Amino acid sequence: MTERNILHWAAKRAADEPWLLAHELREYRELNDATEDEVAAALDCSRDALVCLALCRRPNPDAPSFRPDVEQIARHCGVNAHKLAALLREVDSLRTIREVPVPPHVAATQSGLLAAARDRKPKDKKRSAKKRGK
Amino acid sequence: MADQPQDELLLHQQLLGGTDPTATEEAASRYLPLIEKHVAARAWNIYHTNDRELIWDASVDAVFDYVRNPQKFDPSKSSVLGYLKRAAERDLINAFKKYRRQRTGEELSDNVEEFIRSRNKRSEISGIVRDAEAQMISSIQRERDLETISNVGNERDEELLRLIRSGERGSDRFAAVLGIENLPAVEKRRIVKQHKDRLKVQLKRERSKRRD
Repeated sequence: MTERNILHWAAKRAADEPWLLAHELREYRELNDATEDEVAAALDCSRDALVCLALCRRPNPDAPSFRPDVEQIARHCGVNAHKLAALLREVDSLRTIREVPVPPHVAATQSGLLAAARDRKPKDKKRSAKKRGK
Repeated sequence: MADQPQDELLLHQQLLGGTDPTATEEAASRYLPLIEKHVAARAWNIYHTNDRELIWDASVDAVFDYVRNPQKFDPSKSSVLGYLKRAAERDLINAFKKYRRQRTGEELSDNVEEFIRSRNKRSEISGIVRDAEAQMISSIQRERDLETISNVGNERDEELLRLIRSGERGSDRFAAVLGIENLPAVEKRRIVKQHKDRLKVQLKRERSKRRD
């Protein structure tokens, strides 16, 4: 973020604070190799709105308050609530996938993404077998 | 209770409640420009500096600490603004000390020259010279430490050492260097501490080798 004034500087510093939205915006940029302008375009907002977003508290994607929080932030900063929610969900999903432990033998041959998908297969099979039994 | 504007108290209540996700932004945009002005004046009057980053960092540190821990502020004692101004002044002093530590050798040598030129008492001059020498030695020591780590050819350790030298206290930047920023906070702190301890032991060994 270009440091034109103290709020821009604060927004830049906020990226190191996991409880602030700036942290999520930085993750999004890193995950998508995106510039600030591209993030602003993805959210359909100005760069000043990005500074505003950066300084808001990060909504918890697992909490029931996620949706109203996102809507409130979007109204406050003048961004599209649906796009903001989608961006935050994307960052959260990719982070979750990245954190799934990959068994060493799988890691050597497969990508982490495939390994995560495979991990869920046996459970699904059991469930479908139970359903069939009923 | 200190006399405070109603909206200031309302914002404080919102921060305490933690239910309004925009309260942090409101506090930042409301207080940061005012604190910046105050800190800039202090920095100029006391330290004769107008270093923008130093002033901004002290202001941001104070406001972030408040929005992170609003319960530390007691409305019966002062206004939020007064509280933040005092906190920012403390942060400025700490930032300035850190900044001075980073600019050891040459700056202290300048001080010696300045004192000699202004014909201070002999005892004062020798005190300053001793300080300058001690700072110079520690600066040389740090350079050697850095060289030691560089010789290992490990960029990661070099970066960690740089962070230690710069006085970085939080674990987030260290975690980023180590690539463990996504681990839970407790685990992250534990691993960062392990690496710091390892580096310190390594440096200690190198120093004693050099002495031998």
